[in-house]
Amino acid sequence: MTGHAAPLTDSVDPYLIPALDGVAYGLLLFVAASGLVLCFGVANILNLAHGTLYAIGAYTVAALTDGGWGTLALALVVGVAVGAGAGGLLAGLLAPVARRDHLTQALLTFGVALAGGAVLVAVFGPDNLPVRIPPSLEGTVEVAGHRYAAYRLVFIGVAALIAAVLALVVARTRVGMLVRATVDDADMVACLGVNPARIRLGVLAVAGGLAGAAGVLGAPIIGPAPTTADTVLLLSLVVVVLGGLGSVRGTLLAALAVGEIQTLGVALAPAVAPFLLFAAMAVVLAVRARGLRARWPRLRPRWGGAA
Amino acid sequence: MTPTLGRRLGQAGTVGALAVAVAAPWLTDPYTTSLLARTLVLGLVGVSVALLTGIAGLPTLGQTGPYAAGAYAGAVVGLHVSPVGVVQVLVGAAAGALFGALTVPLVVYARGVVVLMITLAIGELTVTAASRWRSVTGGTDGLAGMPAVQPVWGMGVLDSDRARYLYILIVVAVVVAVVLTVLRTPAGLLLRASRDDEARMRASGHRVTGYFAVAFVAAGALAGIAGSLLVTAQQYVSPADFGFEVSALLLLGVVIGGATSVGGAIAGTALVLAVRDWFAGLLPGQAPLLLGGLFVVTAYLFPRGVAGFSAGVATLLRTRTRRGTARPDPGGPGEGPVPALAAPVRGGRAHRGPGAGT
Amino acid sequence: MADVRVGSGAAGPPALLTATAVTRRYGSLTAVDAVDLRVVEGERHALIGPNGAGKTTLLDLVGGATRVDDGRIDFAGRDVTRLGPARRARLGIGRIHQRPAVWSSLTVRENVEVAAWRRVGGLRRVATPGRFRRRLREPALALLDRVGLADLATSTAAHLSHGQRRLLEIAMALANQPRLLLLDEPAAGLSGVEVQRLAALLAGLPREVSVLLVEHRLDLVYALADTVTVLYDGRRVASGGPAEIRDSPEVRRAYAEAVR
Repeated sequence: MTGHAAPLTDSVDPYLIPALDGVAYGLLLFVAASGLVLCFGVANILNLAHGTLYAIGAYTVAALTDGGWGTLALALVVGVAVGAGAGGLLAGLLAPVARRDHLTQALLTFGVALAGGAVLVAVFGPDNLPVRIPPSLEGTVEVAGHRYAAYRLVFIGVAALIAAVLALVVARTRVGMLVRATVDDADMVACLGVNPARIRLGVLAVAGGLAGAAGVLGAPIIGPAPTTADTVLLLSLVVVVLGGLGSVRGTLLAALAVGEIQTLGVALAPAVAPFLLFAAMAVVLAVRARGLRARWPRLRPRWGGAA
Repeated sequence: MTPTLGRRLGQAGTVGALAVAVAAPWLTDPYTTSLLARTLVLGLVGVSVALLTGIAGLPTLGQTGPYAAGAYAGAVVGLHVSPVGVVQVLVGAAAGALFGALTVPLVVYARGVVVLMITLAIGELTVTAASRWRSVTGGTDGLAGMPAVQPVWGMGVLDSDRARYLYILIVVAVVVAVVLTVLRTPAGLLLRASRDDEARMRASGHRVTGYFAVAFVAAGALAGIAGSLLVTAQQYVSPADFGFEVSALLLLGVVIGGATSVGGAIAGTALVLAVRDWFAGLLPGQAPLLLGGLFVVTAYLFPRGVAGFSAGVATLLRTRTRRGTARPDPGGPGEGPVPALAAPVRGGRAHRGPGAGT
Repeated sequence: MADVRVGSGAAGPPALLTATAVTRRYGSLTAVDAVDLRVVEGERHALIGPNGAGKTTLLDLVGGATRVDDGRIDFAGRDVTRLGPARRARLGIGRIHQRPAVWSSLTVRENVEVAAWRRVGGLRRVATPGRFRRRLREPALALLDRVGLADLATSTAAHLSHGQRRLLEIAMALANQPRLLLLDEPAAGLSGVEVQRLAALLAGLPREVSVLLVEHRLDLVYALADTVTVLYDGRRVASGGPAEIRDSPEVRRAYAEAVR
């Protein structure tokens, strides 16, 4: 995690900047976590390599950009493509164990995450890499009397756009309908005659693309480093636990909450900050301990895979 | 192989392993002895993972949580309160149990892969908390400088790797014996039945959630004991001891060891650690890559899923009949739980869709 | 819808189970739609109807495996609508599942013992586990003898055939000494001999045990049941004695429509 933008002005309202940072952080987590939700809810795979896919995107932007807009766009395209490709590769690796239990699949993805992380370190070195952003975004802009990093503001806009597009796709398109139906009842969709191997490939590729995009765009916020994959995986998992699999809105709210806890929470209460995520999870899950039970049964595995 | 022969072989193996374990510090150098001590400690955490994953059917990646709680509690007690080992072990057990009790509401309503996810988040959050709560844990620098442990009041201190190893061996052996004894009582029967078919348990009036909660707290206590022993073993504790990689290694070791077997959990954990340390010695810096490969290969090698395979082997050894125990889907429509994790391809009860009211 | 009501009139013995306008929806599908059901003490009550009529869902609602969306369920004079399956089981509702549910890694005898656990219970369970297990053993073996599985008492339940699992689950349900036994298609998948054994077993149940039975084999239903309730499309179409139901035009029509 790279540092948070320090407020540049003395202010009567010192929490606006952390709160904005929280929105940026939360939206970043939303883009990353939505990929995990897809894997989990649709393909029923706990993809422990998801953070690694984000790290791939982040390293891509660090390696490709020279500060110009062109290279940033190139990095975005390459990052998404590589993320999607890596997701597809993962789907291929998972194919032989598709009919087995979840533990096997989780172990496999964890092995890929370990090996992938080692490869990334071998290629890019063990240090945190700096990420150059276009000079026009390097400055600050005025937000309600505060100076705020321009890049983050733009990031908030772009990520919000991605969130809106995702919500629209899930709510309005045929593919989105299929996704919702699968999350509700995997058996029903299996009956529709959709090839599960194709679903898995599609889902993992899209999830990888989302993670790659999050990595490219979010690199100035959670930058490429050996710990990136773990950080992103953990925070995405917390988002999924908090938000459930039911809706885009649930994921978004959970992501924003985690983002605010990580920024505003640290600013407000540095002493208890390490425990805030715990507390949030405990509160949310305890408040609806029964709600959780009602929520999770949707995750019914298809017995015997394709059978 | 007849069941009695199998049992005798198992007993002979246990006795042999114990004899080797006792003799080990005289057969190797102090460095290896300290490695072995840490292996024993992780083996005990592996037992707690196996208790949840294989016996109760709640696959966990989060036993590093109570493990860390026990370790820090033991370290703080060692630093400020008492050098007596028994005190530290009991405090570690209490801390681990408390951690389990605090986190049990997060886990106990979920099943299968969801448990894996929630426990992973718990374990990771624990590491995050440990590295940031500097005043107690020393942050990423960790805690060091504990005085040498004195096993019980009036006894000499453990001042050599060999002494520490033997002390840890004794504590682990006692704790494992207690676990095995408890699992032979009806408690083990109830846990296995709950894992096999939860809906049937409820239909017979059993409070399954309560059983799982007790198992989770007990597993927390085991991991907490292991945590306090870790401090004894390495006289140092830091968040690096409880990372994601440790959770995953434990799960891999337990799965290789058969998931449902306590002895297998220790053996599997030891095997995985040995492989890792061996790799690390052969190819410095490449351990994660090779370990990752080991995970992938393990996933591929077990023909019917690791848990299914090991359950099959266990059945094979127990009754020398055909392999594979069904792990039926306990879920009915509606509020039915997510079925247990390791359903083999054949023999699982198909999920009755909500519309299938016949 | 016509409602043929004979036999278990309101003036008869007291109701053990009363379901009042129970409804269960799954999304846009209403699996059980405002169904009333009454089972009196000692009654053998059968639920029949075509596939998808909501019979299993109704059993789930009575057993507590599924909660009602609307309506109310009373058992033995107390409102159990909000109670979970384990509480209802302890109150005396036993059930067997459409696909036999047994604990695969336990032995056959252990299955019956664990099923009887809550019944034999009390402080003894904790205080003297050895004595407790012995108290479980004799009745378990007797029950296994009754269902014809005594020879298999020490084998692992995973190795039982489908029919043996069905008989084992019936023994497990009986071990809890239920006042109401919910049977979900007990004859499904059984061989001819096994069906005969099942029929004899059910016919020999003491009248202290009431039975709510879902079954496709109408010969079994008509031989066993005092009352038959016909469900169609989540609704109760008819209810009455076996003879009335057999000759009811509504019932014939419901089945005919289902076939069409």
